[in-house]
Amino acid sequence: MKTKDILLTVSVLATLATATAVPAQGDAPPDPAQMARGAQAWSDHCGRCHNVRAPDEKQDYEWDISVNHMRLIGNLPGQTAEDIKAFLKSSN
Amino acid sequence: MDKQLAIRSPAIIMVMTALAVLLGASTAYAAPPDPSLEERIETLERELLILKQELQGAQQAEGRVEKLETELAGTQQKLAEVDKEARAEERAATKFHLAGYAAAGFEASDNGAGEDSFTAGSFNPIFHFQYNDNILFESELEFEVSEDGETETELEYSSLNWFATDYLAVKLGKWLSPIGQFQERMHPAWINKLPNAPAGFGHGGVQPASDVGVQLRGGVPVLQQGLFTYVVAVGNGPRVGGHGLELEGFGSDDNSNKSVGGRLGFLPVPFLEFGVSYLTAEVTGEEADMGPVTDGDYDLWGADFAFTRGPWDFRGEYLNSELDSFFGLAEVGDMTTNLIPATEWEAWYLQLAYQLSGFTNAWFLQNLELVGRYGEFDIDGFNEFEEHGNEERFTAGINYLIAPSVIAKLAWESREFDEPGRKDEGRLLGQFAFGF
Repeated sequence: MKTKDILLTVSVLATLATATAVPAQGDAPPDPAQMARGAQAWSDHCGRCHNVRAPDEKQDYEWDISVNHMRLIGNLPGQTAEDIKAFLKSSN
Repeated sequence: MDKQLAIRSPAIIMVMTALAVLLGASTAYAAPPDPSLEERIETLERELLILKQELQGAQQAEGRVEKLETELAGTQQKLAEVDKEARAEERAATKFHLAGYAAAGFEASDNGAGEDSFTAGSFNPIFHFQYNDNILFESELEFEVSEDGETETELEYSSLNWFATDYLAVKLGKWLSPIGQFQERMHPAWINKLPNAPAGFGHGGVQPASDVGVQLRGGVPVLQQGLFTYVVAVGNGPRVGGHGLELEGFGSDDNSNKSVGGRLGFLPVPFLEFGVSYLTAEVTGEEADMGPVTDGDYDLWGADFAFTRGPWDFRGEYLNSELDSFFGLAEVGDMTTNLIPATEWEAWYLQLAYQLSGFTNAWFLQNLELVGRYGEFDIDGFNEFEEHGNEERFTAGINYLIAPSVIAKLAWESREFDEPGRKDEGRLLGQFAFGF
């Protein structure tokens, strides 16, 4: 392959890679501190009643609802529920 | 004319001679080939060919790049559309989610009744509708097949919930009893680690099943890792009559006297929980053709704990309730009311479970869970009530976790009854449960 082809291919791949790395519209960058709190709360509170379920068991919008349901049953503070949602959705 | 030709002829001859000499000379110079010149020409021709090929290749590459860029733009547009579509539910103000659980299994008893059976178990769909992250409607239905083959349907709960603040939610409608742990949190088949409920914690036991009313509930962080939880509930309350004491949610209050109860929980650390519960209500005796009817005070209290760390799950509950004496219908079919004596219900259990993943990663073994539970249920007072209770129950089981919410259970249960004439029995219980 000629140098020019290589350069062209590399540039096209770089463009593609950059395009896929761009966050989707509306995505806020995950807050590492909230992720850490959410992971800890997910591990601590979900296991109080049942086996801990993996993040990929539900879609993001389903976690929004499901965690609110669990917030009621588990009497979780709102911020703890939000942390768990953020963790589950970022790990999904 | 001839003279002119004569004069010119020598000149012409000379010119032609000179041209001939010159031509001969040039022919003489071209004749011997020059190898270096040919090589250079060949080299130049090859280089020209290569340049043509490179130019052609570059033109083709540019064409491919343009094509790729066009395809990339199209793909990005499609990606944006797919992303938008995929997040449509998440962006919507009103969201819907269908969850629930189902179970099926078998029971075999050594009581000689010859009623070993496969059981259809139950199908419990749970509907969630959420508005703007602060309003949640949730409802659970239960479909079961009775022993007679009929499909039974029950509305387990149906409530509107408003998340007022981070620490307060308001629940309105029909809800599962917040008393203790089992009824509200542990009873779904995929959560319950054994195929049935502890003695006294199922239908007809001391554990209230549900109520219709309003709850205030939530949790407040305390200490460094601690959590204080609370539920305060006001409902239509239980009823009493020919069918006994009914601790289920009724759509109306038969005596305009509301039940008041709830539970306070404290978790000093996330894996250790202590709770106390209380419920007070006034029930009115059922009318008969003759005789007086009076109210009876009903009071329940309970305590529970749970230790859930790593592969260990250790929990227990104690519930005690009392119903004072009152006048009312004692049994369906009676013509007159009677004085129903004061009755006390008491139930407790301890349950220990351990998942083998705590010490092995071996295939199959790591998905096993061992469970043991011992409990007692006692009723002291009115004979009609006592017939449904007084049991010591020990259950040992082994579960295989296909997934966190997909569980195959196998258990052996020993039951000892106080009821006169009722034989003790051992039961083999199997259940397949799926939470979704």
